Amino acid sequence: MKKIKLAFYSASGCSGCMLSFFDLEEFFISSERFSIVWAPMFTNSKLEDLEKIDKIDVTFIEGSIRLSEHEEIVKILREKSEKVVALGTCAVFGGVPGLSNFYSTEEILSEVFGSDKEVPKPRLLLDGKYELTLPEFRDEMRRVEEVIDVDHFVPGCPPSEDQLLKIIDFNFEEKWIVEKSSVCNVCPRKAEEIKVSSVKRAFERDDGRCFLIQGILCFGPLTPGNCEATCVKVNVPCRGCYGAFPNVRDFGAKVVDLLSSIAEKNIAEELSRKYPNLARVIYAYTLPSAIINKRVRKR
Amino acid sequence: MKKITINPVTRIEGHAKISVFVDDRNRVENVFFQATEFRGYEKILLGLPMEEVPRIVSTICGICRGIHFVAALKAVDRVFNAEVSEAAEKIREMLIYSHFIEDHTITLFALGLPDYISPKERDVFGVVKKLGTTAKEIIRKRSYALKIMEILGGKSMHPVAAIPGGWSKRLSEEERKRIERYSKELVELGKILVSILEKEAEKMDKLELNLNFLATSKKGEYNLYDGERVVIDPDGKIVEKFSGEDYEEFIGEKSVEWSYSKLPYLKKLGWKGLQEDKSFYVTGPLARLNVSKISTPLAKEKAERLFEFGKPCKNVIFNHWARAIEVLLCAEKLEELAGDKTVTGSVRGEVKKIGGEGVGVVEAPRGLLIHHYKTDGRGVVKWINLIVATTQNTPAINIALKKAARKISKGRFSEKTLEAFERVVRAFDPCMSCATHSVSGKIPIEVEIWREGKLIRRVRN
Repeated sequence: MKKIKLAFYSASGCSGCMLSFFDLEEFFISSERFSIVWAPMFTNSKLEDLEKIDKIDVTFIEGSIRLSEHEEIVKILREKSEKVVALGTCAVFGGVPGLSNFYSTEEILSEVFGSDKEVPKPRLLLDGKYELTLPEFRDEMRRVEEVIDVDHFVPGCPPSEDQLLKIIDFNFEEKWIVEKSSVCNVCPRKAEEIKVSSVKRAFERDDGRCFLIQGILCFGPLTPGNCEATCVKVNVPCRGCYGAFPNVRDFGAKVVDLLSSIAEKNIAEELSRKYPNLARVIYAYTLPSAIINKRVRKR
Repeated sequence: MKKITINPVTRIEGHAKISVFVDDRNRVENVFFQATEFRGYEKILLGLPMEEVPRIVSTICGICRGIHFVAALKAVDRVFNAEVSEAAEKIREMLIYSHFIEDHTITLFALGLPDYISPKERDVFGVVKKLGTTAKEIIRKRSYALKIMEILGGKSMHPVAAIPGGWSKRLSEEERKRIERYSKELVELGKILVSILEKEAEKMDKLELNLNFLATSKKGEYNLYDGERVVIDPDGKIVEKFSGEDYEEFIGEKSVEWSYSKLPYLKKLGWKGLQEDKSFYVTGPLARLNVSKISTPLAKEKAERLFEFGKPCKNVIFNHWARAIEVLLCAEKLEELAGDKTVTGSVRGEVKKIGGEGVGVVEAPRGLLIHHYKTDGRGVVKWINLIVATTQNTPAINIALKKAARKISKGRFSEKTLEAFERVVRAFDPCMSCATHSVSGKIPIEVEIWREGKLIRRVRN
């Protein structure tokens, strides 16, 4: 049997999605069925090797896109690949690092190096003789889909075992490999009707009922339930790490919709008092796919 | 002068490059290990309520999948002035032990051992082929550590079960028994890894650094979660002790124009430039074994073999060996804790006065990890400083590379130098996603070779 040729690339990710493959015994067991032709994280792949490869069956891309280098590499991968899979919430929606789109690169650099005389420079001649260079950053974190065509989307932080088992069989057809029903559907804290009359922070006492009924923000109703409500099962509210359902563009806007539809009275004032930067929380995993993306930078 | 750049050193987690400058006779004049990515989590977490931080900050790194969570949680305890219950503290420790076991195992397997076990393929699949059924056993046993992380943290990657002063879920008796059973398998995993490493260590380079070692120690004993920070010199003498919360008095962070990662040094000794000087230290597996007494019997016995090469052991390439010993040590500790029925006690935390500052210090798989947060009166984050293990090892990596370059081919740059560089870097197992809290993600490492101001060669992926 001909082996399936795979490539793995981690753009601006945390390596967690890639590592999830290693967490699966099945990945090693089925390793006879495929060959990894390019994967800088766990093989000795160099960029020159990629240029020599003529065809890849499936490419997995983790993380979002920030550097010109990321962009160049995913474009080459796209050209050579039959199928490109955006793996994990960062690749699909921008993920937590996407929160950086609230700021410009200069603002981020000055937060870390602000008062220092020696701020990292893209090009430098040290001691008059050592020429040292660093890559420059684009001012924006982009989803993989904004840069190249993507055939399949597999969200999750990281994707669940079920999703991964499905993709290592390499016989998937669906564009989106994600659960169609929400976290609430698999949540042990069942509720008949959800009404909210006050707002609480997540550290406040939990009485064991549905978090939303208690007034604690929980994004379960809007989040695909591949996780089997794993967070709620350890008494922690959902923060939407799977991102939105495929037909929803703006996760945070949906959260606001949801809150206004279940609020028994006007909770807006209390909400903004308890969560002075609500956008950070409701867009924690999806800012680059939001309508407000890049439009709310502080000047 | 000639400059050589290696970009990236494959099989390390994340992105860095090495720039080498050689003279007209091809002798290495200088080497720089540069962090080439930058993520700025210090900025993007601003404005979050502190209780939300542990699970969000965890996404800095999926390799160090559980430890940023614990460091941030310890800072949360402080911000909420919450005392931690005994059971919650033990659960946190168990999470760290299982995390170390799975992380060290995959690091050895996929990143460290290929150089020695499958020099031809030099990748994880080469190791799997060579080790055969033992490889399958290692993979299966490692999965028990992941199962424990999932039972305790809710998820095996980026855990979520944080509450100020506690743990969000009480451990059931059935779960405790399951963890106890799994931990026995993990002790076996530790034994297997140690025996592999004892054999492979014979093939490893000798690269001794005369730097200090920094690690956490509780009353002189090995501890990952709690204790004081101890610095020993290359002769094993204690030169510094501090709580960790007061890290700013002891650890300086120097920004340099040529790297996105700062260079930490011991403040008392001052910044003396990047050279083999005791103002710099090594942190991580080898440092921990060098600094603390090992209290578990099997690991203690196995560590003796390592110390035949000196105590403290100064060969930084033996970090791999130390990693295997730590797998065994953590498994023994885990077994001990899982056998303790008090771990099923109440994990509820009591929040007292909210607001102010919190520092959380723990040992991460790659070394000491410091999270520092300042919040407003409502516990909303307004300032952050993170000093991660790899950043603390960056000066040592730079120094080790310069030293390695001088030792190989009489200081003349060759293919052998390149290979040695990769082995040095991987012994430290730098995690660049952590070190740069990157916005950009992973930039591979690049080696550039420069002579007389001209770039004559570039190796990268």
